[in-house]
Amino acid sequence: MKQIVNIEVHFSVIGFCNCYILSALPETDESPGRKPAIVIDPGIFDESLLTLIEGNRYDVKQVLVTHNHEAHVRGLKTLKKIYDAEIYARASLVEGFRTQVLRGGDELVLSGIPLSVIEIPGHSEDSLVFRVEDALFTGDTIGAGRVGSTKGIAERSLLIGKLNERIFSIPGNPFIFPGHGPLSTLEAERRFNADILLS
Amino acid sequence: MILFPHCTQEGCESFAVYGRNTCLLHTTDQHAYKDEGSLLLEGQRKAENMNLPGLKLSHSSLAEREFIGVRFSGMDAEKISFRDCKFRLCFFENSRFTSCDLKGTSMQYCVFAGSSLTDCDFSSTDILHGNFNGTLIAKCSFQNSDLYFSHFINAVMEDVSFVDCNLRKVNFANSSRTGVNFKYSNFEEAYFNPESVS
Repeated sequence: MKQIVNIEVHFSVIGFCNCYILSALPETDESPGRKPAIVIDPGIFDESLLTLIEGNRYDVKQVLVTHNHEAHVRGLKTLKKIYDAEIYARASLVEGFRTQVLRGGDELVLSGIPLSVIEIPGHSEDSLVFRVEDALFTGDTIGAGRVGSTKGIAERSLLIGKLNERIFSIPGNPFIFPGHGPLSTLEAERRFNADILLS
Repeated sequence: MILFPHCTQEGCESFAVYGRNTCLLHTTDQHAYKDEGSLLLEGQRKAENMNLPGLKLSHSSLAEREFIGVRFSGMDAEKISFRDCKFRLCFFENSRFTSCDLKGTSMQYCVFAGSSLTDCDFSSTDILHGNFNGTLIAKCSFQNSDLYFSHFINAVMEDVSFVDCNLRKVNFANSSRTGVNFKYSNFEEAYFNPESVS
């Protein structure tokens, strides 16, 4: 039986990063009165993100980090002052916090939400994509119409190769929630992603 | 938005349409579903978390409605007024909009990829983080709009007005543009070259 997941999106002009809040529906009884939730890539923790979390009575239990770049993790220190959340990332240390280290192929259930971990190096060595039911949280590996930036040709080739192998092989048409810019779908990226089409 | 439940047909990975246990393909009463969907939209001021693919709408007004997390994929809309509507996290990919009025709408994180937009008025809109990749856009006006961080990658545009628009972080890479007017817009803050895609 598929878990119904609610997704909230928060955008910050500092770092231009998309941050996501995930919660399971119907609510679990893990945290009476408040809904256990996952935050993905808190690039900044500002008043509007706090309002989004508190206004919806979320209790942030976990933070997932797609990769350890400042635009995606800068909000961690403030978030950790407010919420007792565990951090999950490929890197063992993020913003001075020890993490639960993830590897490709890992499958977890966090805040009642099943998710799997896909490693897509290229933009950075530690880049992860989180697959949650029919959603892919892609960080800076792929966004609407483009793939992530890379340091050189070798890294770009690695990134596109891994995307073809591990993301474009996923059946169906999951939603894509990237680290920056507009949302997309996997079918749209198959058809219109300029970097993929030109590769 | 929510991630919609799947079709109950064995082996089918598609999303079940609103009010049914099956996807559009496996819905036996497609006409009834589409009629119900159209009536539903017309009768509500606010629609949230609905999967309503394949609707055919014509000659009606949905002005001043609010839509959050609604999937309209494959919609065929002709002469529909969406004037002053609010859309957030809505998916219109592979849709067809003909002679529609979207003036004054507010859109955040909406996806139009692969759609065709003909003779539509998007003037005075706020389209933030819009995905127009691979769209065919003809005889449309985005005049006086904020298109912050929207993408038109691989779009084909003919006779489109982007006059007096905010184009900050807008990406037009690999797009084809004939008769496209950027007058009074900050096009220097947009991306046009293929190499700027990544």
